Amino acid sequence: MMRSKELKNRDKLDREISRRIQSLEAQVPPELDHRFLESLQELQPEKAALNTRVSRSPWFKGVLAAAATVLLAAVMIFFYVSYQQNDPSSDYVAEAQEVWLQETTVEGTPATTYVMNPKEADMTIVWVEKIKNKNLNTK
Amino acid sequence: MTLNRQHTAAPAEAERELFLSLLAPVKTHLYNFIRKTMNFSADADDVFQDTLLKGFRYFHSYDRKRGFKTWIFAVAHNLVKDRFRQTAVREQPIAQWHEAEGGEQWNQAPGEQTRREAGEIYHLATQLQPRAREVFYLYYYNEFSVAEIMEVTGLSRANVKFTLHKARQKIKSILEVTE
Repeated sequence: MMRSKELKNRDKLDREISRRIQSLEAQVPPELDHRFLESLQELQPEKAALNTRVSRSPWFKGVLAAAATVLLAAVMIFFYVSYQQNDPSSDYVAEAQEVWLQETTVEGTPATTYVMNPKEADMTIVWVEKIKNKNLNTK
Repeated sequence: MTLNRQHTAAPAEAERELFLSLLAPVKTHLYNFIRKTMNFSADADDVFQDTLLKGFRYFHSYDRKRGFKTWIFAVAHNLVKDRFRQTAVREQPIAQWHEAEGGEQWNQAPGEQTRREAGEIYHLATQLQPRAREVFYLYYYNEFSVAEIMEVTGLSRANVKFTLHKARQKIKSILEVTE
């Protein structure tokens, strides 16, 4: 409550000060205006030259930029290589193994088998002709 | 070595017109700011002229996103600062500014009390340090916000607020503020 009252008083004081300060004002003398416009005319050719000037930036800025790029590339390569070496999944590499089906017997009696190779390369279907409910052995 | 083309060549005439059109609304305030900050010194006209010429010369470096008003006042601030450093500014006592060439004019016919109070406030402002005087006029005459004053003068927010607070304390005794 006190704070808002203080701010109100302060704002009021500010307005009063501004009002008094702003009550006095000088106009720009015409001769000063005229002198400025004349100077502007003289300045224009110099200004046109200034606007189209091709500037040369210091040589070291390019060198610094190139060095920063090379450093960044080196850091990225380093992290990539170390990631590849430490990749745990590389310990387990799938190896293709061939499994030969020698014979299929049902309680010692050879059974007719059919080997089918479906489209999936890592799967082989072995179909054995069922002869009643017998124990199946494969080698 | 790298080559940079700084700016495309804007037609000089168009740039001149643009500069003058941006300057028109702030010219009087800029002139008065320089006059008051320099305590109505005869050097104020030179500083004003230099401000306008420097502003035009470096207009190509003006950032369009920034307000023109704060930009040109910042140019003026730097030139006023340099002038205070280089030369002993010829200051006129406050009583003489009525007779000064191109003297002050009353915007509205003030009462005798307002006239007296305004004179006392101006007299008090002449006694402030140049930097404090700049902040004072930017806030009370030009009605710049604290952020704009920071942009023009390069002072911190705390510094600006402290300066205004000290000025208020002194002026409070001059004005009778009714609660």
